[in-house]
Amino acid sequence: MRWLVVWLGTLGFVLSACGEVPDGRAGRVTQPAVTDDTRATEHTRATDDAREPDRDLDTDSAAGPDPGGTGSWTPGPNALNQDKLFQCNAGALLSSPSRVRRLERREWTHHVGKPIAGTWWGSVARDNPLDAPAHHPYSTYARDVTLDVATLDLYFSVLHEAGSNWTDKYIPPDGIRSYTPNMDSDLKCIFHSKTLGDHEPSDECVDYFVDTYLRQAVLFRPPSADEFSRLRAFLVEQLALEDPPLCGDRVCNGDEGTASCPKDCGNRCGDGKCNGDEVAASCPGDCKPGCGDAVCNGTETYKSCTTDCGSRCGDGACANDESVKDCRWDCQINTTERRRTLRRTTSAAWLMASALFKTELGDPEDDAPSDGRDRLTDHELARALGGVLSTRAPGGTGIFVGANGPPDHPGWTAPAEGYLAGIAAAAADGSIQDPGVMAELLSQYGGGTDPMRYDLLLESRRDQREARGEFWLPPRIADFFREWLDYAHLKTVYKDQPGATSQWTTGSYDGNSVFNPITLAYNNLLLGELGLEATLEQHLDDTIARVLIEDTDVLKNLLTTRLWRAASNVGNTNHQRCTTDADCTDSTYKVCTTIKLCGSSGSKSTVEVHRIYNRAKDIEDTPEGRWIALPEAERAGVLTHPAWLAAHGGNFEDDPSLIHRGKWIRENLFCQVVPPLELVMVDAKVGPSAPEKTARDRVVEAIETGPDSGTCMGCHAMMNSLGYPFEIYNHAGYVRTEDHGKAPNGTTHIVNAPDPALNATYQDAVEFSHALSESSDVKRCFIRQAFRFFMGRDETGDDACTLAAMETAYDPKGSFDDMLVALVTSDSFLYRHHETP
Amino acid sequence: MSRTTRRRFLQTVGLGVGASLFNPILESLARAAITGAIPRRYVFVVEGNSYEPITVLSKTARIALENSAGKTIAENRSKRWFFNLYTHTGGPLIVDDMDFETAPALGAVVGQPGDLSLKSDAGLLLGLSNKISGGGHSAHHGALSCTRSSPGSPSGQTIDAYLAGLPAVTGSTPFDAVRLGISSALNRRLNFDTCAYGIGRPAPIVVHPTAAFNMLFGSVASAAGRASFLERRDLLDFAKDDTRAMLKSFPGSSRERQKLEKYLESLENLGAQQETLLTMERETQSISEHRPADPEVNPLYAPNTPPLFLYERPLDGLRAQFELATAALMGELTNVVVIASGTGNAHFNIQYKSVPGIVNAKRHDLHHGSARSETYLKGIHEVTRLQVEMVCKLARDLADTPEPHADGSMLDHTVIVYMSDNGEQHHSSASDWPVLILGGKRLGMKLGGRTLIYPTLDHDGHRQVSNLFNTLGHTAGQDLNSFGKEGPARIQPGPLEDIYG
Repeated sequence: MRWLVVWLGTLGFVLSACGEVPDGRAGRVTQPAVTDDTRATEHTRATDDAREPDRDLDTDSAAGPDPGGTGSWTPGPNALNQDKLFQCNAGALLSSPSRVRRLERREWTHHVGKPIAGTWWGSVARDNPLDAPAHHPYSTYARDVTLDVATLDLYFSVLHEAGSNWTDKYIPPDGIRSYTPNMDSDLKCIFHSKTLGDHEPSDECVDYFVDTYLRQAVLFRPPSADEFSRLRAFLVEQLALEDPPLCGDRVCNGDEGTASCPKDCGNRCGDGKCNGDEVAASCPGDCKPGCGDAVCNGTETYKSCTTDCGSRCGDGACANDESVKDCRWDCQINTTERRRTLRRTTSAAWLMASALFKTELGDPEDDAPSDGRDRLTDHELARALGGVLSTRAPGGTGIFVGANGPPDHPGWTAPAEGYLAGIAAAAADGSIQDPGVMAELLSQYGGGTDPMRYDLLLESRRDQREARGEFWLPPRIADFFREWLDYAHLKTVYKDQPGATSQWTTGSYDGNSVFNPITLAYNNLLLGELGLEATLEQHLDDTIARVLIEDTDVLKNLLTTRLWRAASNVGNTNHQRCTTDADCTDSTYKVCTTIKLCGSSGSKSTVEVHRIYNRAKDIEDTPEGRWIALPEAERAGVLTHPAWLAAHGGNFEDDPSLIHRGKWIRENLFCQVVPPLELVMVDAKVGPSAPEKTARDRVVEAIETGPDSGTCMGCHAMMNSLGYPFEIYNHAGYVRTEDHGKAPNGTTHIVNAPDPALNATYQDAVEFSHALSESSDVKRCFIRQAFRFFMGRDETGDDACTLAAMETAYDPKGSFDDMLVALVTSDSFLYRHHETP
Repeated sequence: MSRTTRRRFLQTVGLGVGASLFNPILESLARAAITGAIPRRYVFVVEGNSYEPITVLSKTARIALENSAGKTIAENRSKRWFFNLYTHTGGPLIVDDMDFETAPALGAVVGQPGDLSLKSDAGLLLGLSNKISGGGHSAHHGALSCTRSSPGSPSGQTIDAYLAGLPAVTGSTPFDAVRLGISSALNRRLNFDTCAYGIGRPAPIVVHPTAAFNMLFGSVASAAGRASFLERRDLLDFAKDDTRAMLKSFPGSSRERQKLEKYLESLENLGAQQETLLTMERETQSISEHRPADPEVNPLYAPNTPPLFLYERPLDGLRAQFELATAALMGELTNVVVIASGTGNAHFNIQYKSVPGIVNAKRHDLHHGSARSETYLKGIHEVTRLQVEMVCKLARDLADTPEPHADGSMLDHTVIVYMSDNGEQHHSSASDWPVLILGGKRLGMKLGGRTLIYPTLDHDGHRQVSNLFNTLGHTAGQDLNSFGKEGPARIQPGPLEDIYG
């Protein structure tokens, strides 16, 4: 039977109301590639194709309704039968397609030693154009990701930053210094020299720079002979292009002397120096008696009596009494020229295909096992394992951050051996192929607790880090949760009156509703521009990190925890009580805020931030005070967190947010298919807003009881009932206290969950979240999502043994870490095969 | 009045006929000329951190508005935006202005005696909202995309990028769009906070005129500019050799191989763009004919020790960018231009050291101080006036230039939009987004020297900035009803019918 699709999309439109469309008519529906009766006809290996699920598994109801509509559609891995995905057939050969993976934006930014957050360094590296394609489910997916010409053009706009930490020993223009070029004395020869002979860097000097740069800052492995020689040749070419010193460049250099270039070297009688052709007789003011007698004697030096002493700035030798300050050329090369040479060379390095694309091709020389699979090389495995943990590469050199540095490595973001140094070392000695070593490395770099949050050294100021939770996760693991729960785009979702229908709706500044204190607080929660407190997105990051570091019953706790990290609302106050501004006499805290504490000028955007957690009581600005326990009746877990609710909410409080939320649960907790918007055919939308109509009312009228309800519910039955529980919150995640004159209504009755145990009636999202946390189907979907992110591809039937192993590892304790070890030591992770076209 | 001497395209083809047979740009331009394709150009001048409605309200329009609202706009410093007076309904209040010059910032529209008056080519819009963008100090990419965006993180494609993606607009120009500007962040060369190719893909604005000069005219400019141009060629050559070498021994599947081949193709295409610029210069002289004076001798850039002149005279920096934009349009390097004057939170806090009275204060402080200081207020409005002057100079240069591929002037085929990046005030509520439009007669724009004041939010007939962008889309044959992310917050689909058709 062909279902009819009518569902309210991201903007509240109903985009289709298609019935059975006869073949050959305009608007002919192309049959979806996977339907209930699809059967595999041949065995295929895992593919790197998000759009072509493996046919060796029966699809089931997860495939969802036939959407009708125009255009072809393949529903992706959610169409696969979940039970069969976890049935491991002993003896199956596991592997993944070989591939090259273009670096993603954050990876590139960190690989070149620049920050992602904030612009306080003055770096634009984070603005590189290497974002993952928006249509990929996760940023780690590599399918068809390359550099088109527009991306390449944009890449050139930031390329000059790629090696800027490596163009001078001294502080480059953006103030960011890398450890190796700053501390490795063997690199000094390329940056500057003390003797003339080193002005043209020796062959050894050039070799060392090229090798070190490629190893520690570009390829993160030893370069091949070809790679090395190509870049070396480029550097040599650029060195040859360096301009000879010019008279008039304000530096006494090259062959210049006081006679040949007085403009740079000085040669004026009366300048206090006996130089050029001056002698005591011709210029007694500059040349002391005795100077000019052709004998360098007494107190004479090259400075006081060049004529006699002969040695002078510009002779190419850095004498003991010369320094960079007064004789730059003799003691230091023309740094502008050299910087330009090194900038070009480092830019060239970052255009190398092997720099932009990480390889996972396997070692063809390794013929064990001889079954068509190749095991990843030591260095490929190191990059892959590093990619599971971090946006930084194993062995990449650290960055200088001054006094913010950790005590064990003062001033640097990483130890001398670099980031993830244990992984780099294990690759170097080959021990990385040992599963036990891999497990240890995951544990070593898998996160922990740190009140100073040194993991954010490059990204945040010390006082901002102190406002963060003490639990930290490796960046890629944190990214998984951001991308799976899909809340990182939170700050881009416009909210009209974010406090609407909550108890926090009153007040204004300057009579302008935009300056309602709740609106100001909400906007600052998104952007964190005023004050030092964490953003709403970071609150959820930190809450999740705590659950992950505790690493027990992870999914269950994620879906039920009420111990949340929050922002203090009193950070921009001096804690002094007030009634009017006149009470606030401190010149920094001269505003009597809406919470009746004296605050700074920025406090009106921060003193109401706690309302998003429905708190009447202040949240103290202490490490402990920012951990708050939410009321049992109001919240339970990440799906009730305002960051998630707002990210999956509409623009207005009576928008059909419930559909977005229900759709997310169907697709990401149940791993089932909801047909995409582009396949529906007829525009429609919920009725107009009205004072007496809640969001639920508008959805029910348009979809469930309206004239098109029969057609609409073909798809909306997959979403609406899962979203209703969240109607106790508004579009921005505030707890509703009333809803258009009625009590907030989060009740729902679910009849079509994949886990029959979930088919029940629920009062609200709190009760529903607890039920979800107990579901084995939800757990398996969670494992599938983790597989997708960390493997960077869809799961297929060939991965069943890996998925089963992940579940087996997870089950005893509910440990995410154990699950991840099972993944990275699986053959799906370790082996590659070459796909045939 | 002398009209600009301009290369006539077919004549030039005749001069270089042998080479043109091998030049795809010349060939396609010839085809366009023969088939009568309509040239379309778009210029967006975006003022960072607002320009205030009072600066563009003429006396006639003011009287009409006050009569309509039954209230007067108070003569004090606090009444510089007044969208609460747009209480009429049903459609815009249309004022046939005879006196644009009475608006504090619009004198340049009429110009000095002897200047070509742009009055009939101008239209002033008030009352458009863009609430989705959020307002504030800056709506960032949201101003041009009708989305909610944050610095460096656009939520949608901006209108300039959309138009620049249309073959009917870009034709065969080597640059799909040219984005120039100035910034208070003098250590930056690029501003990623205003334009976007799409979600998460910001399009950079070059905020240093010398860098912009080298980008556009480096192939034929000074030794330094040429060195920069050639540096890119060296890098592209290196990368091509490297990628070919990797492909030679690549053991992976054909699908993976295609990634590297696509990269190589991109390197080759970018190299070809470089060569196209050189070819255009060599064969048509169009680039050098319109190339502004070299930065080393151009008084706008002096003293030539960047970024010093941008610090001392940011408005000269902006003039230099206008000069480059004009040259890029006339030299057929692009048909889409964005000129951003300090847009985005990281870029707007400019200190206008050359504007009397405000030499010591930065833009943020100027706005905050303007409620108390008449000097600050006049200074801010003077900045707007000077920028309108630059906009009008650009328009006049185009009006003085015959359209090479069609009838009329280049201005007739160019729509110039002058708007802000956040709306009506320093802390904007995005409720009123003043827009000055010039040109586009032959693209369907009917401006006619009028002020159109749309009903305010929640009043029947209210329109949004998205309707303006939809209007631009229509001039290029595109319907933009779903442009941006307003969704149900879009009040009415379609273009602004009163200025188009």
